[in-house]
Amino acid sequence: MGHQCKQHDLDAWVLATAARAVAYASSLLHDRSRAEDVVQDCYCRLIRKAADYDLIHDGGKLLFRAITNACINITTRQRPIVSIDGYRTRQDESRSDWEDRKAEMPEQIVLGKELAQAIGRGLAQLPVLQRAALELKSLGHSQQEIAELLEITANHAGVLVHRARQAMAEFLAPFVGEKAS
Amino acid sequence: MSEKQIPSEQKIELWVRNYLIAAEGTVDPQEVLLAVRASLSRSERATTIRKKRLPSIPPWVWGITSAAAVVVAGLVLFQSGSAPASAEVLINTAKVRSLEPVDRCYQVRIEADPEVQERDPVLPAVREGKLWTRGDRFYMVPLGVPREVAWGRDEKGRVWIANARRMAVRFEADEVPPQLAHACDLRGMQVETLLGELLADFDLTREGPVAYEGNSLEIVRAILKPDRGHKTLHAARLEIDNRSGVLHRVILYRTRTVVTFTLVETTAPDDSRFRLEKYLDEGATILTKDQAPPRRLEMIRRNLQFPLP
Repeated sequence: MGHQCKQHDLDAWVLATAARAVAYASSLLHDRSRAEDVVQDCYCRLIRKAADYDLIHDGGKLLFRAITNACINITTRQRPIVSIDGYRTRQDESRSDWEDRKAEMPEQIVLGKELAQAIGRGLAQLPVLQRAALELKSLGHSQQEIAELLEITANHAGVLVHRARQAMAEFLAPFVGEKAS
Repeated sequence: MSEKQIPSEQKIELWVRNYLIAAEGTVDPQEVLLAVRASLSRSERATTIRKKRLPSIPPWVWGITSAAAVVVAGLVLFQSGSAPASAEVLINTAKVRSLEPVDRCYQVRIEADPEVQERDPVLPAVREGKLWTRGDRFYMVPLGVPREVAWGRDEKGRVWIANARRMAVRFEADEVPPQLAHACDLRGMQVETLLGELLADFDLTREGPVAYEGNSLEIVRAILKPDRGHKTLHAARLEIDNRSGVLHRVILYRTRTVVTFTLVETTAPDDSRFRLEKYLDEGATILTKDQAPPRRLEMIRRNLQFPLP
């Protein structure tokens, strides 16, 4: 069954989904540049097969499935790199070596930014499947859809979301009452 | 010592969602599109060259060919980059975004044509309401009316109207009276259908971008093609967020009214929002299939002595 997508339909599909796709991939990989490569590769693969799919309607799901698989493959394949500067503590993980740490003193940071950084750190500590499940849930996907995207059972998807939420709740507990939403 | 407080599940999801949305704001979709086009163009070129099966060619020739491919890709990239997205691309982008599993809330403003207003001065000249929508589902509340009224369409396509949390009528998807179905079409803002109609039957022109709250909006104007007809719509103006491709404002110039939808909120999907039960107190009366549709329509007329938005 062929779907004839015009060039402007495909362009529109990419424009509409790119930001979310890159943000999602970046969060899974903690590496924006690599995330952009993964997303670009997934788009190319799907667009080459545009005649086989209805990308305008189903492309979002196909794209997120492809990105999830690619990111999980990369994350589980890559071995941790030992820094020549020694091992980093978890607190250090979010900082680049060249950052001006004085600029990040808590009293100088607005709470919103601090919370956003904490969410990033919290997500980073989750196993990649839990992270993907929680992010997909937060983006509005149902348990069944998460299961399809991650190619697992719906029950397993529910467990992953639950564990991820629990871990995040523990991690972000200091922000309860300090930040409304 | 106070007990350690743990954020709720909803709060965690909201925080993660906001975190991802903030990250989205740092991505330029145009750049991704250009990179994808360039990559596709390169691989297409490579496939064509492979298919020709050129006989043993010295390596330096391959070098020149590759360089030429890069130049061609660069030209494609440059041309694409210099040309702004067409009105069709903008509308298609908005169409794709409208299919996302999120609930969107619009402020709706309906202004009656002065001629209609003159003929029927009982109708208020301007009516306002709040509309939540996702795909075919919607729920709407009129603003500034004397009591709580809500109407909508749920996931089964059933159309319902609730009055003062005590009484409601509901029509199954296959028994919605034509006049009510028409009212839903006019106000429910089925974005996918609307945008499809604009693409098929309207002449589209693009304007802008215009600055808006630190970002910019693309304007698309749609005017019914001279050889086409439409039940009620003769022109439209769409304001589309330049970065996200989401519809920010839609103004529909209908035969007797001008309807403006302005996006005010986007949230995670909540099916209960579109169900009648949410807008009724316990023990409320619901008129359903047991009553013939004309009788239910009559009940609506009798109980709602003011126009729905």
